Amino acid sequence: MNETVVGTSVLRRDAPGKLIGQARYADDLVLPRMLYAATTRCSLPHARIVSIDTAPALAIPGVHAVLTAKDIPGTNAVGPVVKDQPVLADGVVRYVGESVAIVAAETKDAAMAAAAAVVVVYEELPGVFDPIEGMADGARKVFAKGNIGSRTRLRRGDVAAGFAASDVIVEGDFTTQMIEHSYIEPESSVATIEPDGSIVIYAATQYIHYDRDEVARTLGVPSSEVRVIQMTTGGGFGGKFGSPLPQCHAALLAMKTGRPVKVTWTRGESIGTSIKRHPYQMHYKVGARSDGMLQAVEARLISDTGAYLVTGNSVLGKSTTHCTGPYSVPNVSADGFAVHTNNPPSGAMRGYGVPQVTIAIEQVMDEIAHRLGMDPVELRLRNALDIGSTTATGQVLKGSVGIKEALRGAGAAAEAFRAEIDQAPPGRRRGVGVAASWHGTASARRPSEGTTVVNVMKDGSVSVITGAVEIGQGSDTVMGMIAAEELRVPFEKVRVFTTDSAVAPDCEATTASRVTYITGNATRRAGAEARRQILEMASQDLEASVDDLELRDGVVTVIGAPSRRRTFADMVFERGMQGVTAVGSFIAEIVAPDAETMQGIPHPTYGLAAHAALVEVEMDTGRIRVLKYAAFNDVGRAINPISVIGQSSGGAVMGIGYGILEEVQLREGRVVTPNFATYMLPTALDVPAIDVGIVEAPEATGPYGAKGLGELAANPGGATILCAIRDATGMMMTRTPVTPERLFMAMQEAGVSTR
Amino acid sequence: MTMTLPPFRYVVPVRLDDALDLLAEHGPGARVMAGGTDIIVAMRERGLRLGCLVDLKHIPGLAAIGVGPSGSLSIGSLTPVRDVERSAVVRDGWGVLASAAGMLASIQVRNKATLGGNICNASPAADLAPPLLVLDAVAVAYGRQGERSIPMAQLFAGPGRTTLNGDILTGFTIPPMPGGARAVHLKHGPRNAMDIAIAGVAVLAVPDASGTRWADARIALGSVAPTPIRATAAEAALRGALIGPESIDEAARLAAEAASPIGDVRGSADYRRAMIAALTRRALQEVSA
Amino acid sequence: MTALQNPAPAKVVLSLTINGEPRQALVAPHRSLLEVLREDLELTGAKRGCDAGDCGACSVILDGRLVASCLTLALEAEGATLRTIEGVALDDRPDAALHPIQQSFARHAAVQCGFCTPGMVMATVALLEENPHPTEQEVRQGIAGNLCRCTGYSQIVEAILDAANAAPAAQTAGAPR
Ligand SMILES: Cc1cc2nc3c(=O)[nH]c(=O)nc-3n(C[C@H](O)[C@H](O)[C@H](O)COP(=O)(O)OP(=O)(O)OC[C@H]3O[C@@H](n4cnc5c(N)ncnc54)[C@H](O)[C@@H]3O)c2cc1C
Ligand code: FES
Ligand code: FES
Repeated sequence: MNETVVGTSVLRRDAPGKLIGQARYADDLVLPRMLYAATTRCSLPHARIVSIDTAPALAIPGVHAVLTAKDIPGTNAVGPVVKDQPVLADGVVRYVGESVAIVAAETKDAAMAAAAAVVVVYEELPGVFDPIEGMADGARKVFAKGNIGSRTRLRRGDVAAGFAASDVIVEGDFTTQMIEHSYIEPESSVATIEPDGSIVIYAATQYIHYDRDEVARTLGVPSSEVRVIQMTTGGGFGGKFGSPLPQCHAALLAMKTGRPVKVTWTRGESIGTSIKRHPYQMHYKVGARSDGMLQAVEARLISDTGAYLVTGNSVLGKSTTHCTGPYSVPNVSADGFAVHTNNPPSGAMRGYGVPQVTIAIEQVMDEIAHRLGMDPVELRLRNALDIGSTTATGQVLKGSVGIKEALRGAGAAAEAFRAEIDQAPPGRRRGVGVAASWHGTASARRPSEGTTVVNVMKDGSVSVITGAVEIGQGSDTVMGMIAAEELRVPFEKVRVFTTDSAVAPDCEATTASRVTYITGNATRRAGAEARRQILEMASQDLEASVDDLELRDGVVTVIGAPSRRRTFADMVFERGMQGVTAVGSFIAEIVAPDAETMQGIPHPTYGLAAHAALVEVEMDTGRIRVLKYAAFNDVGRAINPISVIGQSSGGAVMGIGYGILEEVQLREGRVVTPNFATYMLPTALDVPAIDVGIVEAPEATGPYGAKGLGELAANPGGATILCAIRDATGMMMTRTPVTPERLFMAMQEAGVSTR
Repeated sequence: MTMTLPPFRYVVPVRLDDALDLLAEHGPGARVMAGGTDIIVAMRERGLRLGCLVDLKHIPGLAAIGVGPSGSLSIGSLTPVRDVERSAVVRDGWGVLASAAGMLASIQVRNKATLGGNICNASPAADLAPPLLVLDAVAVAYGRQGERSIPMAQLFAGPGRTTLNGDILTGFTIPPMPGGARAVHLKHGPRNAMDIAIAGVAVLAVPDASGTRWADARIALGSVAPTPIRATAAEAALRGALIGPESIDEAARLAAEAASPIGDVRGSADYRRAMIAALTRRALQEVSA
Repeated sequence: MTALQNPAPAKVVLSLTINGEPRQALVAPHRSLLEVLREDLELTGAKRGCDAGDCGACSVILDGRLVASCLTLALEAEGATLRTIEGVALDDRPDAALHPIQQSFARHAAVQCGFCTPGMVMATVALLEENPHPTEQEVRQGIAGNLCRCTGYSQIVEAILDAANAAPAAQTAGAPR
């Protein structure tokens, strides 16, 4: 590694603007003659729409448009993987809060009044709210075709033989909750019609090109008529990719009124009606020999995908391929079902099905360790994947498998935590937990693509144009660093442009932990190609071989003879060129898992992680405090270490929230936690400083050895806390979040002294 | 959750009598506002519609903190919760109130929320109610008939209802803590900040001269009944009893019996009752340690 | 329709001092301070994260007190002195360079998506003016009303501690004007 920019901590250039309040988010935008939108939402979980009367809404002064499904000129169905979510409910509503009508008015007051004035007559239909119920024969139907939206089936080896060879078999049922992404910026989009009739949308989003295509389909116009410009986006975590409804609604209203229209959701709309993380019900059966070696994993995974699938099949797929955890297991059998209910739709959220299975498998691992009298970290180390290991999908790992190093790091942290275990005040007990997880980089469904254009301008400064948008995680900085590295220019001379779908090549979504790996590779290739062209020119001018030349900040010199030099400016000027432009593309090759057994190569590479926590439980209340936390994440290579630390601590805290605090609570499909007073995120007082250990097992196919981190960072957190709670109290908690109440009641039931 | 607040008039009287006039003038749709942290959220999230808000913050003297000749604390109802938390006078003499104030919401909210608003809002979960109850605070109300005093124990009429009957709460008079008394307030929720209590308990206890028996004990419970309440049976059981695990356990049991919680998104009724026992026990242990 | 039966009462002129400058706006009584800042006064630095006092993204300093501007009626600020994120850089230096707190946030990578950032900075300004040398626990208490979903708070806490350590007490205070 002789890089000069990559691997150093670089400060993001968007920070100052954000720090002085000048960064522009979608809701900050006010355009001349702009109208405000509001949404009429149904309050029933399942109903037939008998009639809609928009006249009372239109009669309100200042109201310019009221639209329903019949006003959609194009296709009324969106979704990143499966297009089954209506833009506006057509004939039937399938969850509470589904949008039925949208209005645009001069003021927010008028828009709200109009949305409330739309008269919708419903005929209530029976609802189904539990996926197990939904799967049963004769269950009430969310869709006529049946409630099972998707199935997965993974088969490897012979689980019966594996169980026969096992000395210990652990079985358990685990339930994880629905959670909300909770980006602090609610959904927002502003749509305008340009003088030439085309449409521009300024949006909070994770994927401008997807929005562009969905808006175009909704409006029934070619994609080329729609341009989506990403505004500074206040977090996404999967949620600003899953459903483009705000963008589509703004576009429909702008098209109808000819005026700019802003859609900004309230927090209640965001929590109540946006897509969620799937709740799972899981049954696990795992066998191990007395030496701890895992022999078989059998898993049944049932996800509640709510009213629509959107990405539910693909999330389920990732859960299934990741169901063993980062362990080598010869015999695996897993069956997954994504089941429709009349709950809000679930879709992509950071982790994409892996946090759920991590909760289950890691609790099982601790139970096996307990039964075998083995140290839980030792058990994990013995089974951990390594170079040459075969995963549950039959993929042989060729390199970059840093799980053992991560586990050793977490194990050492856990040892250090253990020294404080006896210092609990009276009435409290402390425990230490370690959990591991993994995360396949990029999509498992098909090859995953990224393209970057690099321009070296006449003065030697550089623009990088690519379509993978920044959502706070720091990818613009990483792309700039890679280009700076390849072109040997200072980072300050590179500008990264990712926000405009009319300019930036489609690099797919900022999801699936794919940006650093895929777009990073594309950027590296583009940068390398531009460098090649520059060196080529110098090679001609200096009559030296390219191998003997060195490029540094716009000047090419002959190595060892620095007086033989050419400046980039001179070379392009003399050739009558305006600079150099190069394009780089990267496609991650995969072998899509086979439908019958899911054998294949779903991901080019995997991130691996092990986390450790020290918790303290107040025995008389069940109250849990996380006192210490260490996160060891194998990122292949930390291109920008300070940003890896930030992603790692943010992910860890999201994991802690998943483990013990957050839950979208539903009553008959109705969200009863529609605000941050009842949907509880960790505050600064609820989490310790996160100790981050960066593990770097270089990935040969990644840029400078890097692979994805975004989701991995959040995968083990919940499980880690549950393992620590078990260590403190002896209670294996099988349902998240482990609230004080759940823990207290479980301890009481188990006869654990709660004094 | 609405995008904007529903329309209302907003008036800023500078005298109590003017405030009463304005309330009368605007009828049932008029409401006084102090910090607005309850009222604004109720309009935005719970469908509350009002014709007129009468902001009390410009009436002089309603946010004063002082100690009278008898050693009683008088504290204005418009005192921001943040000031209750930080006032040296309150911390020194009535620390249990200051510490409860420090656990309410966030600094942003405490800087606006007022002591009087917390009580007049009459939420069963009002954090400042249990301390005021065990401190035997007396509310001072001002109405058409002039000023009247209402003991804390008689101030709440039900969830969201008080016995003010349209009068304005001007403040509280809080007697000095009895000699030798110690008091604590425990609030239980899953987080260390920003939580509405699942259960709350305030205890004020006085040992007898020998230090072996409870001379007096007052216990107040939050979030577990239609209003914040005193656990009178538990208090009676402690009076005269030996200080120790037996009397504490018995009081905890009786306090839990006094609770009549409901279950909601924050916790089930059973858990809340169990928490009252746990918090009462712990609070009594703390004051007797 | 409530809005119809109860037509919006007349707008009134609101006058206040924002970041040292006298400002006026014509506002209806039911407008929150956050809305008026963002929509009438073109000060969009304060962010709307929840509109209910739960997230702190809208924090401003009103007459010396840190408050949630979403829980404040604009008219409550009549005659007041208001400080918003737009004025922080100006607080200490006329050249509008970053305030030491902001510099420390940048240095510690305490900014990711940035949506919580203006509120965090305002909470930090208020905290350090009150307590120039806080402990880690006091820092966490000082920002407990500000939710951040991206950072996990670690780098924010470090940034605040560093800002406090770097600055001599008097300078950090940046006495409100
Ligand atoms: C994010 C958030 C978190 C919160 N957390 C907590 C918490 O942890 N614990 C807790 O207890 N509360 C909490 N609250 C609730 C609220 O902040 C407190 O109850 C606060 O003390 C109310 O005071 P206020 O001055 O803002 O009341 P306002 O909203 O102004 O008034 C509340 C009610 O009291 C009436 N009222 C106010 N003053 C008077 C008076 N002088 N005379 C007669 N009637 C009057 C009003 O008409 C209104 O009905 C929270 C609120 C928010 C927004
Ligand atoms: S927007 Fe004001 S606290 Fe969230
Ligand atoms: S940086 Fe995104 S919410 Fe804090």
